[in-house]
Order: sequence, then C-alpha cells, then structure tokens
Amino acid sequence: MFTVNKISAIKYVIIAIFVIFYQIVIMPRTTISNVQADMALILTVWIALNSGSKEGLYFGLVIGLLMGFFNPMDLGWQSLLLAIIGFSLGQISHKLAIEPMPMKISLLFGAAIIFNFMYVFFTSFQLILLNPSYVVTSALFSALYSTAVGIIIFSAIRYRYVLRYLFE
Amino acid sequence: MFSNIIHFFKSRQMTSVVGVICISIVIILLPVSVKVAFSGLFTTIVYSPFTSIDRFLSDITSAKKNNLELNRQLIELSTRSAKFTEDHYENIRLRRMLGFDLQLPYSLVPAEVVGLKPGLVSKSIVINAGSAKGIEINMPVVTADGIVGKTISVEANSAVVQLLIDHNCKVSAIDQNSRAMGIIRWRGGKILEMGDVTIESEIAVGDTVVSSGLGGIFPPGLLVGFVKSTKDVESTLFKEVRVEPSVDFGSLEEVFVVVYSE
Repeated sequence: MFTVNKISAIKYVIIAIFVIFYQIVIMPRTTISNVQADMALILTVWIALNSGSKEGLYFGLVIGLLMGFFNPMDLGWQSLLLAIIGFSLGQISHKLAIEPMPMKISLLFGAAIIFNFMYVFFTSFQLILLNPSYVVTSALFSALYSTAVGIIIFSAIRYRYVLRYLFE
Repeated sequence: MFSNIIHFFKSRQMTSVVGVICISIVIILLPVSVKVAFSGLFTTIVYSPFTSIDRFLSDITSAKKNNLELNRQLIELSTRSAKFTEDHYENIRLRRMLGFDLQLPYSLVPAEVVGLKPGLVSKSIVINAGSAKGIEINMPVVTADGIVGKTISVEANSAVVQLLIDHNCKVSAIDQNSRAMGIIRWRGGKILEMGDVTIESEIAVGDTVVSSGLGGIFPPGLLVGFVKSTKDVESTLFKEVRVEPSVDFGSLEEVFVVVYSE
C-alpha cells in the first residue's frame, strides 16, 4: 500500500527528530505573546507539496501523534487534522503543479488557519463560545507566525545547495 | 468528472486515507488513562534526551540571573532572619499557651513536568509523580509562585494536571485586602477573571488574591495572582475583576502537589 525507500525513510525520521527538538528546545524560547510557530504543520505542508499526498498523509499522522503526546487529553486530533491537511495539499499540488514560492506560502498560511480553527473547534469548543475574539486573534497570529517561520524553512530547503556552495 | 471521483474512491489512495482517519479516531476514542500512559511513556523515555538539552540550556541562561537574585535575597533574608526567629519562638510559646496545633494542614510532593504544550488551547501538563507517591485526583498543584492547577488523572508514576488557564478549572478565592470573595476562572489570554464579586466590595488594583479554601480542593492562602483591573457592572450588581496570575504557565519545570485534606 505504501512503499518508501530507505533514503526517504531516513529523511522523514530526521525531520521528525528535528520537529521534536524544535517543540521541546526551540519553541519555548521563541514564543511571542503565548503564540508559537507550528513546526509539525510547516513540515507536513512542505512534504505534502513536494513529495505528494501519500507522504503528506502518513507524515501528518505520525508527526501529529508525536506532538499529541505533549497534550494527552487531545491525543489523536492533531494527527487526524495534520494527516488530512497533508493529503489535501498533496492532491492540490499534484493537480495544479504548484512550484512558485508565494503559492506554497499562501497554502501554508491557509492550512495554518484551517488547522488552528479546527483544532480549537474539536478540542475546546466551549472556548469559542466564551471568548471568540481570543480564539480568532490567537489563531490568526499563530498562523502568521507559522507562515513567517515557514518562509525561512522553505527558503532554506530550496536554496540549501546555494548555501552549501557559499559555505564551502 | 464523476467517473474520476468514483475512481478516486475505489483507489488504493482512498484506502490509505480511510485507514489513517480510522487510526486517528481510534486514538481519539482511547480512554484518558491509556492516553496518559502512552504520553508518560513517550515523554519520559523518547523525549528525555531533548528535555535534558532543554534543561541544560535553561540552567545556563538562568544561572547568572538566579545567582544575582539569590544573592540579593540572601542579604535581605539574613537581615530579617533574626527577627523571624524571635517571632517564631514567641509564636510557639503563645500557641502552646492557647493549645493550638503547630502542624501544617498539608504536605508537598515534588514533581517534574515531563509533558507540556503551551499552545493555543493549552490546558494540561504531565508530571512524573503519581499514585505511588500518594497523589490522587483533585489535588492542588503549586509552585513557589502560586497555584498551577489540579490533578485530573493519576497513574502509578504520572499524573495529568489541569492548569488554572483551562476554562474548566475554577478556584474559590479571596482578596487579601478587602476580604471580597469570588470564583477565579480563565477567560482566554493571560488574564484570569474573578467572578461573583459584589459591587459593594472595595477590591483595588494591585491587591493580592489567594485561595479561600471554600471549594474543598485548594487549601486557603495559596497565591492565585494580583488584581489588574476592576469595573462595576451596574446591570448585574457584580464587579468585573481581572486578575494577573502569579505563575508563568509557559515555563513550568518543577511543581509541588499539595496533599491536603480539609
């Protein structure tokens, strides 16, 4: 059903380790007004857009599960939403052949907004009723922050050969 | 177009999507105790190397700051120590005269935070102490700064703590200055709301808010925060009191579970 070569598997494991490292070590130090960039989402989007819907689907599931362990009460929701986002963006990328960077960034921003709202909707619906302005502001700010970090990550991945050449 | 959709639904890709959705739903529907057990396993074994790096970096960055602060406190406390010692012995003497019990009504069980997600809807943390250390459900959790939350699920060696910044967590509180009582609850953002405070109460900005002990979970006198703003709501005959929590929920590392009985 799902075949993946050894190099791809190692690549995904390294990406997963990086996401965990970011979540535990970097994220608490880069928080702005209690809002963080969602590295799991950024990399799921990148994999979906560059490798396809199958890879996006499975990577979203696994990385969502790994991130879900930090908040056991909502375990499963993150993997479900990331897997669906990964699959959907993979399909969009396959159909529309998305290559330009601004398109990818726009899709990341859209995915971040949808993910944030859906996550709050499924895990803390009461909060939407109690304080809708807080939910909207936080979700938008978080999506913007994720997009800003996504621009850096996407650019670094895209121009990694140039960077390697410059530093050699 | 229609045949494309049918083809898609019959394809292997669709099987993968349905499989992944089913796996996620099964995980979502797992009992909380199983989720906590898995989470505890991952956070204590798989994530521990990363947590060690985080602790190491935190220790380095905070060491200098802490050193300065501790030196300042040392000087301040040493000057006050003599007076307190004198007061302490006087207190013991007077209590003995009145027949008061000197025992604290609760004990503290230290624990480390092993799972934390300070995100958009952050609500809970996982700590590495559980029923093996005498911890039960609905026990208060504190730091030196004040109330953190309460335990909502307990395993043998881990427990889930519902933070004060969860809208389901409520604390019966009292303003130390005016003695006005109310219910503390979170309403989004970094600020707590002290509800049910009557309009006549003389609560003021900067006042200290502590637990009143009336709820049955939190013992009296635990610090909750400081009054940030007050506003009379004439239509309801209650004040709108906003309280800034004394605990920084984004940087919890070590906490104490209060083993307490009324």
